[in-house]
Amino acid sequence: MRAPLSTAIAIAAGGLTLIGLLIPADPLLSIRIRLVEWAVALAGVAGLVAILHLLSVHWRKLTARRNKNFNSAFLLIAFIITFITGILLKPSHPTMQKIVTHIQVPIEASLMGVLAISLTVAAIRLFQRRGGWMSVLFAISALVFLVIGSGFLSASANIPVLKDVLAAVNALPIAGARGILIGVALGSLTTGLRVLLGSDRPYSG
Amino acid sequence: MSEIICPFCGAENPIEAVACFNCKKQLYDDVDPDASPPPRDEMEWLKDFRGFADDRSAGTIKATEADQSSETGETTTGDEESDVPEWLARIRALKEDETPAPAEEEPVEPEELPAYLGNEAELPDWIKEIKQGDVPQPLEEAGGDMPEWLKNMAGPDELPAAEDITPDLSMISPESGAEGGIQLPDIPYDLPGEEPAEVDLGQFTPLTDDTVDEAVDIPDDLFEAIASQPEPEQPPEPTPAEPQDDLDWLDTDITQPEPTEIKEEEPTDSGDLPEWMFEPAETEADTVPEPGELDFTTLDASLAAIDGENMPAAQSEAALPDWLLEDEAENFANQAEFQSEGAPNLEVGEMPGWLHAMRPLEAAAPELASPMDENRVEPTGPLAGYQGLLPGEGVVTQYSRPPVYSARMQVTDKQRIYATLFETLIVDETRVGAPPAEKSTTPQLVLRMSVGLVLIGVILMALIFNPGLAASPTLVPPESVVFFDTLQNLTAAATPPRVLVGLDYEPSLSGELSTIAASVVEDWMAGNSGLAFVSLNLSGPALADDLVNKAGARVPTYLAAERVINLGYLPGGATALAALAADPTRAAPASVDGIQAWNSLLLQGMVAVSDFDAIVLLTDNTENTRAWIEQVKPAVGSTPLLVVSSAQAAPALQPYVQSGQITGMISGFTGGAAYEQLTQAQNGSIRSYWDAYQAGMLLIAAFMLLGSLGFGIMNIFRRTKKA
Amino acid sequence: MITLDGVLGLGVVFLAIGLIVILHMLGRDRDKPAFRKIAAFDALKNSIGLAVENGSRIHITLGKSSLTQSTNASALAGLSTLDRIAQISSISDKPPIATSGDGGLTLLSQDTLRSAYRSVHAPELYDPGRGRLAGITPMSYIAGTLHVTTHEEVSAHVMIGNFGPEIALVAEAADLAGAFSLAASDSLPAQAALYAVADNPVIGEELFAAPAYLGGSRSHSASLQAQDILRWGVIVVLVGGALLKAMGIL
Repeated sequence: MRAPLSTAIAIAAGGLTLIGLLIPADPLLSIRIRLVEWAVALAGVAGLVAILHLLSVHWRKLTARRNKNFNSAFLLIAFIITFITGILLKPSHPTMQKIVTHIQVPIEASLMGVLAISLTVAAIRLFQRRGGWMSVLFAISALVFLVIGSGFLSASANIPVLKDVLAAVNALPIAGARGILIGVALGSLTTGLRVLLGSDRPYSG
Repeated sequence: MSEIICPFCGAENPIEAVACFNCKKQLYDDVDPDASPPPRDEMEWLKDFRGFADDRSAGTIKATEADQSSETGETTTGDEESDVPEWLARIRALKEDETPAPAEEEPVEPEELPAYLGNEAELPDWIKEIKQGDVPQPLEEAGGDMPEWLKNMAGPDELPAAEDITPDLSMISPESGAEGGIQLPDIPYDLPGEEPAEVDLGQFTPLTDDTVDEAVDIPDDLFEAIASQPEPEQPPEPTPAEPQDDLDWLDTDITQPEPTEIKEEEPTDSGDLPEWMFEPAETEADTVPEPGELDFTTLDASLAAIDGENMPAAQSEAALPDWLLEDEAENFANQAEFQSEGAPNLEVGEMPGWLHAMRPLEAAAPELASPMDENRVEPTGPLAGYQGLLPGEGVVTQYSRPPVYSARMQVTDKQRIYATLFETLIVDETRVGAPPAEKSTTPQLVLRMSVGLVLIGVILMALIFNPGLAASPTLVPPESVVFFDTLQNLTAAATPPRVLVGLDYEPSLSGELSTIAASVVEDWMAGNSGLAFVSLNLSGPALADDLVNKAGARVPTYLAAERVINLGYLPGGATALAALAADPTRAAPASVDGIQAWNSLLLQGMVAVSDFDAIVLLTDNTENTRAWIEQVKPAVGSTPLLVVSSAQAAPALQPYVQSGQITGMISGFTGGAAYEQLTQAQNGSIRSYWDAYQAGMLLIAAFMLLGSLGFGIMNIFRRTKKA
Repeated sequence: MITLDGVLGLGVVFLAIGLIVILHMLGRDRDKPAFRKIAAFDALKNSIGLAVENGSRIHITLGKSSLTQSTNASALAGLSTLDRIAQISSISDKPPIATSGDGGLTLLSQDTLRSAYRSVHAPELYDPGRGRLAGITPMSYIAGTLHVTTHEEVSAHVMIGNFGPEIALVAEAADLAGAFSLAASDSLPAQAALYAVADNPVIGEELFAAPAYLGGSRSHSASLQAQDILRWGVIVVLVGGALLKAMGIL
């Protein structure tokens, strides 16, 4: 067995956390809370390490002999400026908040707009990409909920038949989502148990 | 054309020839073979040529030649004498010594000589050679051609001089000898050929000047021994068409002096030719002419038509002995198989046993599968006329295409079947389908640009012009109604409520959620509610401040600095919520400004989340909402949990709404519009975007419908075409 | 304090553990169980082979879920898939690249690559730069992943993990580049967006079947069988409960 110590620690920590979650009684609750706090701290450190690794990757791309990527320079410069500003001014400083609201929000919002156009084009080419009854059902449901969501039919929602139909239609995605979520939950359970049992060891290295 | 080709064997013959030299067949149909001269002895032609009778002696010939040469003024020279082999000259000399002096004979008058003999200018070369050959050559001059045994017999000094040798030519032309013609040496012709005997060289005494005149007895088997001697410098064997080449030795000068008498062991009859001179004839060949006196007179007719350069007319079969027309090697090869046909005078010899054992291996070898045609006469080439040759002509002259060997592999039927089976098994593996056509991205990019431009254009137009075409929703979802009612009840209370606001959406969806939440926050601000913001993502605190500023601008009387506190970012997701639910003072002890939040005026006296009057969750994802519901709701008890969600998360949160875990919910622009409808806000933020929102949605629906119909119909047609 | 929910949850956990162990032990003496055909995973195997043959790269993106979140299970399934793909494509000229939106997930992806190359006795192939953090926030993560699709000569994209609907941008970029794309997420909005954009979308819990379909170990097959058994159990409970509720018993 590879990395037996890591496996033992993983199994012990996971088991205690699970039992402490299901049976929130002392001292299991305290152990669980402590372990979770350590996990959160480790995740934060891991995030920091990953950020430094990200910087190293972009530095390598910038200084590569072949296929230099000059866009990495923008990332490195932006990071340095933001980092220094945050250290000096603190996150609550209005200037720092303007970096978020005036740079990050517009960029991400514009990407979301591109996503809307991309999804529209994908919906137009749906039948070109794949056919079958699933695609027909998908197209019909998308059309219906687009119309309903636009509020176009809200003015006529007082019509009894239409009201009932709309109510029934609104319930359909809920049922489908529930089924998918139950399946996802079961899959998450078995996947987590594989880690707890030691058969899956992504940390073995 | 000076030659005629024999129709039977293809040999070349002189134009004057009547019969073929090779096969002895008549060349002309109109020639009466009976008209040919009667068969004569084998050597009669020689006698005719020489013009001697049987009793003519060599000396007579010599004298005659001397007379003729004196008449013609032709003198014999040493070169002419050198044409006669020494051995022959010696033989002649010996012969002359043996034979008695001929009777007085009247020398042949020059005018009585055949015309051809008189006029040497008209004589063919071969006759001249014969005439010249009568003069024996000095031994030393012809030493290279003389066999050793003959050289040993007489030394260079012992040989008589050429002028002293007078060959006896009487044997050659016994008939003409009466006319006093040339006398050739009496060469015995009746020597036994079948029974070659050992040549006893001891019986020969070396010739000296004294003995050269003595007649030398030449044993009968001498000539056979001579014939058996290899002659290294023998010229190529003549063809039957050129018999005259063998006759060069006969070209002795008839004017040679009297040959000296040579002692011979056995006197020979000048008129009888030795048997060894008569070569074995082929079975199909002509009959061997009887060895007899040569009749040179018969040559008159033929020689008269002789051109100087042409060959003499072919004699009849009986005129020319076969041995002159055949090769010696052939004679030797046929010796073992020699059958004397047509040679009644020749006794069939019995080969001794020891000789039979010594016979060539080829004779004892088994016959070939395709035995060589022994009777086949070579028609052309340098070996024309010879028999028993390998048929080289057919190989050399008859070219044929080389055999073509097939390079194809020979496959049996069974192997072919197995190969076919194997091929069918692997044909699918090796079959390469047509590569798919390379997709071009240009139509896709054009479509994207077109759709994007149209969408942006329509939305901008709606935003700018705000036509007000979109009707506000009249039907409000119940959860939105509950949300509104809860908010109204709390804000209408005597004590302003303190609300925990969880800001859990990304900057990418802040456009939707901040627009919807702004209306809600405005209503809470209008009720002078205390708001404590907490966030589960990094950009939450900044978004919270932005939301407060946006909403506060609509409610100028709200003192945000006193009534709003920002608890900042809570790391850890669900665990952070669990910790918040368990002890919020420990989970979020300070605000983003660094002040002790739970000691501030707003949160004074609060130690648990249940102390809040309401929890409002601004979220765009289901997972975080579920975490809030799972972690915080149990801790708050009956405190209402109000959710403002994005449209994408609404369906997943409905179960929680239906179960009562979520008290009230506003989802998406539609829910916000419905909420504004309930609050009857005239200048609500959602109202300003409602037309653009509805136009965009309907346009997307239209695009989708058109695209689905268009590509769907194309797929149907494509499938129909394939079918 | 022990609650009913806790007891039920504990019971379900132990039941799942028992099923996995028993099926794992039973699978030792039997052939690999036959699962239903999922065309997306068959196409994935072909695309991996093609990528190895033509010397192009395979890109696996693991999502933005943190290790402390409940949606991390999809990331674990993605890590198992990364392990299998790394082993299969170890002979390729260009090794696979793994991107993620979380720091902890980045470190785990690097660990997985190292383990995969060690298992094929090629530890020298490991490069820590192949496991990258694309971005901290969801959109920055997508922006960093888009860069990989266009600059790393990728011929196959495997998107398996927790995403938002913005993952459709990556799928569309892959489609424009003519690359193969397989998308599997536990997020409903992502599934909806990916169904229209990706070549081979995977719906629902099929995401957790990826390691077993790619030739994983016996434990993967056993857990997939246990998942199927539990699903039937849930169906029975739901239908039975609905019937009992309808009958007024509950």
